[in-house]
Amino acid sequence: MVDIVFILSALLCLASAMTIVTRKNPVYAVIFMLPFFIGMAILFVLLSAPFMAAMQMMVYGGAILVVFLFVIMLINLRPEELQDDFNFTAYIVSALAGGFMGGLVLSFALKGISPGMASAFEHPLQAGEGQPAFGSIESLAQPLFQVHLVPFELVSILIVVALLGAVILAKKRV
Amino acid sequence: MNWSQLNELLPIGVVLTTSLVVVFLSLVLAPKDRYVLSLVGVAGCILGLLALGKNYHALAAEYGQPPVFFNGLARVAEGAYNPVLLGGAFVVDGFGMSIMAVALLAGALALLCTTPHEDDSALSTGEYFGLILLAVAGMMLLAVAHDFLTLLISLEVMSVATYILAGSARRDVRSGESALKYLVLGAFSTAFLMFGIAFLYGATGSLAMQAPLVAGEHLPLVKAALALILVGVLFKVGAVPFHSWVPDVYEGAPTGITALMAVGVKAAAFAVVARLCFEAFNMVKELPKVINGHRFIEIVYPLREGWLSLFAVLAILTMALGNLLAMHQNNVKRMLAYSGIAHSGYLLLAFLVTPKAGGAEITQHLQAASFYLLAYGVMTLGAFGVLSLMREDGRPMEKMEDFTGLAKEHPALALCMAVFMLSLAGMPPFAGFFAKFLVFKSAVSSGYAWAAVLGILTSVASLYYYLRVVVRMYMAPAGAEGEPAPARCRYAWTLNLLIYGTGALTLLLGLLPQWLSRLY
Amino acid sequence: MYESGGLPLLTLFTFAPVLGTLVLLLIPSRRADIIKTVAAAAAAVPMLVGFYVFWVYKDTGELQYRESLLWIDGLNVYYRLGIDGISAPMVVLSGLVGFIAVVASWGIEKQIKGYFALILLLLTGMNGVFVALDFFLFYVFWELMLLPMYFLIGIWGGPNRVYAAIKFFLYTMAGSVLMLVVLLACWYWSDGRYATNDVSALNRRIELRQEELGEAAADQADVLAMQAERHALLKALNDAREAILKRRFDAGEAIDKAGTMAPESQKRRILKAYGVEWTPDIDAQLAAAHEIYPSLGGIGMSEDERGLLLAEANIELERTFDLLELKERYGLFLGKFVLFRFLGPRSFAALMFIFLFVAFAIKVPVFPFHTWLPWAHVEAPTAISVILAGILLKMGVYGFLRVSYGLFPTMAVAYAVPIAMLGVFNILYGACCAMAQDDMKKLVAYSSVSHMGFCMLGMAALTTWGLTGSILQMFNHGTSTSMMFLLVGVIYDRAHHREINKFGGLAKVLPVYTGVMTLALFASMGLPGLSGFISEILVFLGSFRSKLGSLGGISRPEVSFQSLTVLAAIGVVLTAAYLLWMMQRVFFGPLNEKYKDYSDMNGREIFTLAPLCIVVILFGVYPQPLINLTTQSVAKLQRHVLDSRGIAGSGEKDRYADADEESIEQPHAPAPLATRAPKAKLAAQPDAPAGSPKAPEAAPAPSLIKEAQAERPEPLTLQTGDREGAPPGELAAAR
Repeated sequence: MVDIVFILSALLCLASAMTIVTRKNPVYAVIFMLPFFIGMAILFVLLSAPFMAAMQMMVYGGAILVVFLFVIMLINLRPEELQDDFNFTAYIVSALAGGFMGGLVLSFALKGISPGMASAFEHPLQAGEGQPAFGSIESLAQPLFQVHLVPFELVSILIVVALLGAVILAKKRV
Repeated sequence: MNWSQLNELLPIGVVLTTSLVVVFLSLVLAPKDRYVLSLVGVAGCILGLLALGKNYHALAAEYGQPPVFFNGLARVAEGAYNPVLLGGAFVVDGFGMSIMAVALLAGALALLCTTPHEDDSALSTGEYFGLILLAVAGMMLLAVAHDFLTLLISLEVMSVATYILAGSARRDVRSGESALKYLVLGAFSTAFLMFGIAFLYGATGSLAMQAPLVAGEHLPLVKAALALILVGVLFKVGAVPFHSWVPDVYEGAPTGITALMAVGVKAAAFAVVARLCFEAFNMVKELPKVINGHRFIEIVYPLREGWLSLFAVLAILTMALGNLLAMHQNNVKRMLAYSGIAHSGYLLLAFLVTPKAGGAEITQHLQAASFYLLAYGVMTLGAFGVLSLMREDGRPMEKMEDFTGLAKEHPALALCMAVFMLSLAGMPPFAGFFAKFLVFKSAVSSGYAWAAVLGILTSVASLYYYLRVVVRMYMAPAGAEGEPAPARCRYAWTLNLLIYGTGALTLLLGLLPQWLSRLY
Repeated sequence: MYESGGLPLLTLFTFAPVLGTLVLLLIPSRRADIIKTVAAAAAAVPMLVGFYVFWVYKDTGELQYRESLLWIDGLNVYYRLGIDGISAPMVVLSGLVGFIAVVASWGIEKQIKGYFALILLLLTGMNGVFVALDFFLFYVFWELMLLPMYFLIGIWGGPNRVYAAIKFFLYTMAGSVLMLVVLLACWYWSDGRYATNDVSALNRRIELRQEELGEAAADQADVLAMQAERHALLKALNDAREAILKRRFDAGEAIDKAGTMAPESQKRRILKAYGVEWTPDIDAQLAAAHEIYPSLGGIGMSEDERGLLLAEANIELERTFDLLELKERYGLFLGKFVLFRFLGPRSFAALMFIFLFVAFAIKVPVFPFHTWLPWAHVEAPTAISVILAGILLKMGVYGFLRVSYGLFPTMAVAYAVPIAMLGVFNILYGACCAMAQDDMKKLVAYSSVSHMGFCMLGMAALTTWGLTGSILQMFNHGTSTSMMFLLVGVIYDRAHHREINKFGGLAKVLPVYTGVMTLALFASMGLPGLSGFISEILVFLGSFRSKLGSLGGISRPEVSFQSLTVLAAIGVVLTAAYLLWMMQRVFFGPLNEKYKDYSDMNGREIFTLAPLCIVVILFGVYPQPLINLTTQSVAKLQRHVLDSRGIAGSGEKDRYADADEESIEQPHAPAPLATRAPKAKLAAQPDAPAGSPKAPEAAPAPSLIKEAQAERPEPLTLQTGDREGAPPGELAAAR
């Protein structure tokens, strides 16, 4: 069961990623990111990382995707640029993607959530005495804020870089 | 965690602080005074160099020896001092320091190259200078990164900054093309790197560079991980077959940024190669009792042996292809880009270390690599500096023809350029000769004499295209009358000073290679 | 004599010109007169040093005026200078011709400052090559010379200057890169690493084989061969160690002689003079040497015992670039080699020798590598042509004698005939090409190709006369060709062309010029009484007596040195033909009316040519001072090369086995296991290195022959032909 879910969600991810890349209309491309994110979230759940799954949906599916859509709307593309040559391959690809989605939903509907997956949500794997459970928020926080605190802090520099870069690229005139 | 050792990271802190100072200063400065920003940035770089020098000497004093390039291993092995900082995130050793110095030099040149570009709006803003400094900070972090997570984030700091900088000349179409190519391919290579790191984590359960490899059954995974990490790093280095982005990106980016990429990014990436070669897999050899040495020997050696021939072949291909393609270029900037590829090949020769090599031998190899990077950095920076001075009516002059008669108009600049070209070709008594000598020597002592011989032969071939520039400057061909007007240079005393400085350094490092550190 | 006094003479010789360059850079470029004066002054210093060497230098076969300074720690790169009889004539020549070239370039009008700065830098590079004793330093000077030459041809040359400059640069660079390979290889293997490994591998193999065979092992051919190979390797290692030990021993003796109260500085100076590096535990080293060295000479001592004894002295064979040290360790370079497996296991020394051969042959230039020379000569300005022909070409032959023959003596014997054949071909080919030229400068250039062939022939013959003749030919060709290039420059300054056929009857308008030119031409073609004759006749005599006639192990009369000498003699006729023909076309016949107003040579031109005229006549009439400069060193080099045949390294034995049979006397017992008794060697050189000066002193009016006899120690009487069959009449005629 887990294997089937894994294969289906992995294929979903691949198919939607390919569709994103091949779309000419950016709006379509962005919308196809949604199944991609969903597939990723399912993969995280399969890996006993429910927190990551939730974050994936909230940050990527919720925030980033919406920002993309806003940006596309703001840059005022002309209608002819939004025309998509919806050709045969594209039909096939989207049909495949849809099929996978359907398959996934169907598999859940038919078999229900497997006991292993359910327990991943409720009782994350136990790693040992006194240790936070694998996949829990604690187990994520511990390396992040203790073992790898320095790299985590370094990310702040990365953010400054991104900020300055955005300023440079967005500035119209000096 | 030993926070008191943060002092070792002071140079990085100085650069980071300067970057913020520059950004905030730009808010209060009038547009015409923007050149002050670059000078402040250069001052930051110089301060960083001073801090670096201070640390270096403190470390040497502690170690009871004259300043030596040495890796963390040597220090751990001799028990003098534990170099691993902040829970293993960094190792500030002699080698890392030398790479930091190269990065700081590259940053200073990149800052100065852009000073008088008043005509180009996006350049010479506070954000631009700040970003250069942040890129330098990223390089410095990369040079001393000691676990794979730090490595990844430092690499990203450096790369993201350079992606943007490459595209910062927004009026120039080539700049945009350069940035886009760099971004797409760079992101691709980073993905490889991340994939590799994930594999390595899967096999070892740790992100530390000297993490124990748990069991033999994970060997294929570790090998795959190494291959992927290597792809990511060799991309930054510009080694064949991951070189195809180099010419376009280097040509399109503003000249100062090209210099930053050609020298700083390359030096930092080679620092990672060195860490992978010498630290990630040699800990066992040095300290067999710390961890279970027996299993290590079984796992690690085949890896290194596999690497050796791979590195040798890559090095040869890189040298040959870089030199061959450089011969056809008519654009000096593009020619320097190809020559940069070739030099990556020579540098790879320094990393051919036999699996059984001991600490002293590894020190020799590291020294060859760091000396090469320093020498290459100095002369390439100088060459790009001259190139960025060559401008006519705001149009950059990068063609071979544009160098015609430079010797008559600007004898000092032409002399420096000739020195850089000849040094890049490996002529004594310049630094380039000695750098190549050390590298070939280390290849020979690892039993890769054939690679050294091939390297020597390709370096003769490289003379052809380096000499073309010299011929243009000094011996304009007979038909020179019909050629375009002699090269005109703008004058910027800071940049000129830096060029003369690098020229003098090129000569000095060639005559007294021990000037900066004892050689082995 | 062995060590220089306070003044670092050779450093002055090398670096005085570059100091001049630095001074020049401070002078404003419009003050042409000051620039020229400074340049001439800077170039005069090496000339004065050359004169000093000529007057004061007494050849002992050892290196003198040595200077040694650690340059690059860790790599064992030293700044080592010194001269012996091979470099002394070159020092004299380089000083003289360099100064003349600087004075001859006073007519330069374009970018005077740059020109003189570069020419002085060029002089530094060339002078450095002739006095460097460290291979690395030698290489650096070799390359350093290249850069200014490239610019001098490329900026101040004729119409095709860029092509000529690049061709010159790329050719020489290709050669020097091969030298770099040899440099690295010799450095890497100079610690005897692979020899040690091979010995232990052979030990194992012999043991295995003996176990396999049991009693019968003793007379199995393969066991014997392995033992012989092992013996040769051990011997090479032991010899290399013993050489170091000997130097320590000698230094210790000298220090003892100086007394225990001698100040530390004097001690260090003695150490330096003996080539021993000072270390903190030097006293212990000297004591160990004092104890062990005398016991090494025991007769019948096996190599293993010797090795054990030497191991007690705790001598480490450090990797080195020192040419003298490498010369003593040549046995280590003979055996197997891992660089190019596909060429077979024996070829290390052969391959390295060929690499070096190409590197130096390009400079000489030897036939297939000569094509850069006519271009460079024709396009270069007069003074640069003078330097090119007068000094630069000599660096090639000098390199052979100093590096190739020193480091790979067995190969020098093995390839003697091919080298001689190339030399003879050079002579004939150069002469034929010269005859076909219309351009005077090109003619002189090709005559250089031809004349350098004599150097190659004499050098390859490896006889005392041949080697002496080769060195003398270098000197004499340097002076006579310099004259010819200067003279061509003189006429070019007036006529602005060099077409031989467009001149005619110049003897009527330019009598002095014609006279000097005649002198130069006659000197060049080897007229008795002028310098060229001495060297050519020595080369012929020397090569005719050489018995090294074997090619690929098969002795054939048609490739023997006798037949080659006969062929080479044709070159003399050809030389006379093209030179006289040119003279006739330029100076005699009806006067071309265009040239009737030409003025004869001016003061400066006479000033540059007069010293050369004197030298050419002086050494033509009385060559002995020049010969005295080299005799001992030539004998030593010859001994070094010919001795090497006795100690065949592993695998190289069969290559010149026939050469051994051909040669007149075996220096040692032919059996490969025979040990050379070190005592005998000691007896031969009573208290070397300071020893041999006795010989020249003992012969107050030394002649070449007498000296050769007096100097050559008994166990090494190789070239009996030279001694007994020497027709003194030939030399007497020369005198």
